[in-house]
Amino acid sequence: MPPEKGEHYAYAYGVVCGKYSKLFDYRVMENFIEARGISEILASLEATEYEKDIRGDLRKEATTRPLELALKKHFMRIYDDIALTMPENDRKLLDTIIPEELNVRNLKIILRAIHSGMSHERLMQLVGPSRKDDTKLFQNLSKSGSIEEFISGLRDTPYHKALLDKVGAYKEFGNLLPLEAALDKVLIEKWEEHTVENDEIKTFVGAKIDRINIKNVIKCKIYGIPLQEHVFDGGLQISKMTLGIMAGVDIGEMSRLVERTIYGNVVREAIEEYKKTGSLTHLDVGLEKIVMSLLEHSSKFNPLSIGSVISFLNLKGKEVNNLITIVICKSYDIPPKEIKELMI
Amino acid sequence: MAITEVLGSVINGNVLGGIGAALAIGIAGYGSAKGLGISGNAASGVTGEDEKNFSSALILQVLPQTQVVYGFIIAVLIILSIMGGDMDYEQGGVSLAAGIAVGVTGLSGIAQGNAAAAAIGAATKNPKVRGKVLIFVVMPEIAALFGFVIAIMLLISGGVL
Repeated sequence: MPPEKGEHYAYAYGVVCGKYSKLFDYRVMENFIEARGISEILASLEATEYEKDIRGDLRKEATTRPLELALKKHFMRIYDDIALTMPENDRKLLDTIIPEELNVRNLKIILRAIHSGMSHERLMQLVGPSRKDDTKLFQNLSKSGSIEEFISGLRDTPYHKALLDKVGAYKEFGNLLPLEAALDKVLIEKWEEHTVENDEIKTFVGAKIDRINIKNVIKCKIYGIPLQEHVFDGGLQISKMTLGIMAGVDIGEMSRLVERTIYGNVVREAIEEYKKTGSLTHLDVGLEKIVMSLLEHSSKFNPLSIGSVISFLNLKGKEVNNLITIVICKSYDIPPKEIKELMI
Repeated sequence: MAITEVLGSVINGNVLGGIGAALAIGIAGYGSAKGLGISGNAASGVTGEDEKNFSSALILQVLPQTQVVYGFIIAVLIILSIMGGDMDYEQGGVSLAAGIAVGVTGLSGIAQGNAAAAAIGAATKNPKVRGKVLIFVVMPEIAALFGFVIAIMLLISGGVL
């Protein structure tokens, strides 16, 4: 009798459930937010799972930058611990969903920093968790003086050629969207390569592609950039044809075209926010919540699956991001009330 | 000699009974082993994260064991009957049927193992639901229990017991 897929996930599921109980609830996060300084945060973290990642020198002198790095290292350690418990094929799939996507996010942050002339120190605060080798790469890339230098720094990666092909479009429109879409394209190709046999993840990845497409079609409309090559096939609920129609109507009309999809409310609120403030801040967060809720819903019916693992890692990632935000805010003496507004 | 005559000279009531006993313990044992393996993996995972999870995980992990116990009892009853005196074809036939009944329903151990693994995870995330998830894990047991009862009834009706 062939083994069922769930059998292979029983141990990973047990590990993930064991780690769920160690996630900080809102009361613990409140204590961190109300802490008087970084020393107090550090003292609290020493009594938790974070203890292994807080090195001896940090214990002697609590400073912001090393603590941020320790928190990011903690997330990758937890990721590696869990990934090792999974079947090998699914481990490769998980690598494209989490570390690879984090890498693309980090590359976009560095691109934006170079484009806007942000300081190296500030930039490295924004760069998220990554593997040791990737961290070194990002540190080197963050010192790039130009977009061309940045692309040249990615020579040995699959991103190099994709970015090189879009430098012309970047210069023509003076906008980073062509370069960011090139990074998304590489990521999507990796997802498609690894999700062939996994229906649960195909749905999740389809929603992620919808998220990328929605953001890009709105940005193309705002910045007057042609839509083609900046949206991708494989979306869950929104076809390329719908995206083409969206690009052809006024920005105020766009939400009507997706109102029957799961993204309708978020797109409508994001466009209203854009009309009032000129910003699309909440669009990404709102779309990400929808994508994760799809996965959490399916993993409730099939707990012994990769969905449970990804759901947990998403929660863990949010916890680490919130802690990093608290640490940075404490170093700038930002009051607790304002820190709470920045929590995700 | 025709095949039927050859078979008839080799297969008798005792052989049929023996096959029944083997199926009872073999198939039910497979179901239990698979189920215990799945639930054991989950139990190891939660205990590795926190030793305090051990006792509640153990209670849930061990539940797929019962199927092999039912198979063992039926197998022992059949073998004791064979040892007590030769089985005729009718007795051997019902013993074979009883072995199949308890063995195949013993495969519910695999489903119970999956349910136990999920329950171990749920109870670890939320200790308040420990009692409730136990009920979910017990449900597949009913199939095995029915198989056991029918096996006993077959053995009684066939004159084995």
